[in-house]
Amino acid sequence: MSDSPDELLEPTLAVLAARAPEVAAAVRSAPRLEDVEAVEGVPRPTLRIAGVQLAGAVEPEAEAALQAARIPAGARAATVYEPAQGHLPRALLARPELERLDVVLLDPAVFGLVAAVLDQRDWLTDPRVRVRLVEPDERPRAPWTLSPAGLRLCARSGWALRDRLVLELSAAHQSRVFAGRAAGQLAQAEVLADRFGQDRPVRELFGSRPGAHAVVVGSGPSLDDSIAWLAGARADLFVAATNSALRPLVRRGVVPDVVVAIDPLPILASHLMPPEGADEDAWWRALAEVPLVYASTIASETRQAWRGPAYAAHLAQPLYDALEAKRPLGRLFCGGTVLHAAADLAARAGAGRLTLLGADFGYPGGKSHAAAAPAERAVGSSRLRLEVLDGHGAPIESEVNLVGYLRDLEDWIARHPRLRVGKRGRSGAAVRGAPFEDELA
Amino acid sequence: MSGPRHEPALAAICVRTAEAFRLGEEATGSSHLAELVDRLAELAAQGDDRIAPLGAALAEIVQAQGRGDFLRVADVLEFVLGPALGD
Repeated sequence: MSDSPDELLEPTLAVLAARAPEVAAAVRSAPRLEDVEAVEGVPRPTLRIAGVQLAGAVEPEAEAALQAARIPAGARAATVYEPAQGHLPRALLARPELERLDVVLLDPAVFGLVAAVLDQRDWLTDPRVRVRLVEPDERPRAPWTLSPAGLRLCARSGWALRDRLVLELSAAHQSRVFAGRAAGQLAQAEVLADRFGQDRPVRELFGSRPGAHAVVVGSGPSLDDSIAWLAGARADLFVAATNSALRPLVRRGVVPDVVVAIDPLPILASHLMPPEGADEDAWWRALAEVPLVYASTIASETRQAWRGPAYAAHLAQPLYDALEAKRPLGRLFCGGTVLHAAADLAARAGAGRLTLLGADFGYPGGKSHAAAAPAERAVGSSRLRLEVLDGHGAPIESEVNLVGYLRDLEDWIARHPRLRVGKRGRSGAAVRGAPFEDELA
Repeated sequence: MSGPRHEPALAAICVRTAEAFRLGEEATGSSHLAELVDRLAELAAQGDDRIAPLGAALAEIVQAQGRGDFLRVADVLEFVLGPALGD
């Protein structure tokens, strides 16, 4: 490593400025990173920033070769997200057939730090290289690979891209998990059809609320801040509650128009029932006319628990294609959370406007759920933590699956350009395509 | 007490876990790591004398994982834990 940072950084920035002046400017103006150290007692020069090693400290070239193998042999162009200490760009540039390599800096400050102590000019001067910053609304550009430290050291401006990279990296694992559950889910759908075949198909609700202002209610902590608004405006709204939001709503005297459930866990049955100590008769009287819309994924106990009318649905996933053809119920989009299905139900019912409540996709204030919600869980126990930005632009703790739900919701919103979507509850995650309603004209 | 029939499998789990983390596949890596920890716990319960000296390495893995330093986790798995468990 260089002992005089400016001796190395300045000529590197000069090279960069000649190739990508806006990137060089961003590196120069990036905030200085704290908590930087050289890893001690390791065979190869390695930086650690905010506790995260930028590269393997023993065989970084072998590591880079592994990462480079994500790019198919023979590819003429590729994208590297985060060059880290430069091993990955070098590994790919060793391929003579490669004609263009886009190298995206996930945090210009990290590049500046690296370039000050480890010479990066060899790969920067390769004419095939184009260094750039994260572009607005950028999605992973195939074929791509990355230095994984970038996922942890990404500047906020790149978080949406980072999340999509993480989701693509998680896809194989998720597919294995889902494949393991598929047979059981199909069997459960058959059990529900046999036991509750009298339930109406959800498609009968499609088009039933043309032009409505729908409110989709999740049970995130920000619901506590929004529920008073909902109670006041209730009369003019079509309220679709997710299962875990039912208790907080009823507690505040808000009876939803529909309750939606998709999760296979039998404990969901308890979400639909009165809380301990509540007047059971009053609970069921209030909900007597409220339909439960359920996906064929739920446990029989959950369906059994509901005393009001019920509508059955299939999730809009290939797994259910054959069942839907055999018994057409109607399909609801779901990328893993009931909030998606509730939003899709509202859209298919014909809503022209949709407001999200309690849709937090993280743990604002260190809480997992709104007051009185039945689904308390430990915050911060996940090994797969990420952060998202809240409605004030500040980071809140989240985790990979919640971020996946958020990005899937954003994609769903983008596919519904005629639906005016907004959000309340700034302590929860900001949702692209769903401006906070206090900003709306 | 030793368990030689386990050794290649454990070392292989270390390597494939490390590779998943080096590729940024944290979900897969964490799943493999949980499998490895379960296997090590079984061996410890059986009194396998290879496990006790690994305490410092295992503690470092836990610490590195906690701060999201998955390349450090990979290094310890591949170059410390794996060789200690394998041949």
